Amino acid sequence: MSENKIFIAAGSGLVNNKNCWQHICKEKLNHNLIDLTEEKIGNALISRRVIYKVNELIKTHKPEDIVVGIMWTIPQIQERYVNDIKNDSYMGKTENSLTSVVDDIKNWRTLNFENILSSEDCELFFKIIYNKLQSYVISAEHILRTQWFLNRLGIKYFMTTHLDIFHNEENYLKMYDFSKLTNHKRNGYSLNILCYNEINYLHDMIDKKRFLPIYSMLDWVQENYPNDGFDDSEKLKPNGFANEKFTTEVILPFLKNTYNLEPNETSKLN
Amino acid sequence: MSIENKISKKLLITSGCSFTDSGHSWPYQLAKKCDFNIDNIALASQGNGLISRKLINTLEKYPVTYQSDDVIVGVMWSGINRYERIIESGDEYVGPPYLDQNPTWGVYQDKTKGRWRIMSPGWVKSEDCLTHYEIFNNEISSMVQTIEHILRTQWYLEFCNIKYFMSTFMNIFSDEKIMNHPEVKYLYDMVDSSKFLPIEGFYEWNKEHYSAEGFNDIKLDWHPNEFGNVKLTEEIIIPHLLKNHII
Repeated sequence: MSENKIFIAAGSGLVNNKNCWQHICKEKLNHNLIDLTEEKIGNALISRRVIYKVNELIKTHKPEDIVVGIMWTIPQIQERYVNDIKNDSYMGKTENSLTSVVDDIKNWRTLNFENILSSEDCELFFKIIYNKLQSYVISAEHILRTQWFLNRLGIKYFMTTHLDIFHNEENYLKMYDFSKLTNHKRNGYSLNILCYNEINYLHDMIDKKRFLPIYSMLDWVQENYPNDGFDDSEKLKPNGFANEKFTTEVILPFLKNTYNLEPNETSKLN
Repeated sequence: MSIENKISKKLLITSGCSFTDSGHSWPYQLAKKCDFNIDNIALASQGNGLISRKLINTLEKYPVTYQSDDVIVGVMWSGINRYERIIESGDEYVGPPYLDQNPTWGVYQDKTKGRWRIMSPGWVKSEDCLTHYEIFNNEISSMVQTIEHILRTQWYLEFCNIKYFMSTFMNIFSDEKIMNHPEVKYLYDMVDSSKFLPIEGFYEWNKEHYSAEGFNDIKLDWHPNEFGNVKLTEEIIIPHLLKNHII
């Protein structure tokens, strides 16, 4: 293991077990892994976790020893900071979705579009405050802020999305098989971003060269390994084989082509 | 940002809240004294999200081409507890006050009335404001978001190689408990404070130096008057711009 070399992984969705891409990257690159991924957190927390952790690491590490990989999620996942956890009456009794940005301080609560009736804060947020277009604006701003932060430091990084959040052939958000979604979810996910000036200039500013050359991880696996890449019948959860292929056929070639970063020959999996 | 020069005068683009919005405010004083073209996109009551967003959109979409060297940006940040949300027509949660400029634009020279509704903690007769400020707003998350807007703006301007200066309408960074909070401190430490005017906030500076002449009646209106804006421009902004080779 290269003691000073660090691979930071962040994201939400398709990250929840030891067979996922970040662990394979760690082995292939022979870097220490700092795993900031967590299922069902939004892009704000993904961005904040990366910026916080990289900002800490550069106090002790050279920027060239750090590689960052980020898998952004759908913009519909939002969050609120809970000041007084014990006395907050809006979270609901069964919810336990507090998570952290700064080490060991768990005050951020995710608000998930898919669980709109799960608690009072979630219901009120998505009923009154939330706007789908705004969620895309804010996600794009988080992506841009993260890119500019990493660019300033000269950190090597790649980005991708676990679902195709910004574009597909029709410039609509593609969310699995739309026919399987309820009307509520279908309306919530679909957005032609090119119709809105509020988002398209932000989308244009995003440095696409830092993104893996695919629509999303799920799209890539569904297209390239539709049979071997899934264990579930709906083909929504890439398996270990798919993660291995995704890492070796997409991530590592990207790092090689973009940064001349090669897999370490002493890696166990080589 | 693709900017190519066609014009001899430099362009001053300014963003902020009511402290920047009025006809006698510092952007106009600065433009007059330095002979700048000016585009002031400030708006009363708006928060730091819109201040940042409008500025970046304006610079990206500005219809006249300028070289980066010929653009100067000035931002006066507002209160951390001001927020905004995009609304669709017929939004049933919008209530009084019904202001002419609210909703406002987020896209430069948008022909529509705008999609962004400004929210303020005092507007509790509106269901959206009441809900937001009762459940979703607090000092820590507001400060996190404000500093993220500042950082995004600084890094964007840096990326575009545009000269700029910043300040705050009042001293929004004065609460040590908030500023030393772990969620806030690492962000605040990243802010390039050398780009800020050497004052705590416009209000505090004006009150300290021109408490009588600098306000029309401080008990009724805490906005600096024309005299206060002239003095800020002459005594603080221009020296800061000269010292930092912005002009």
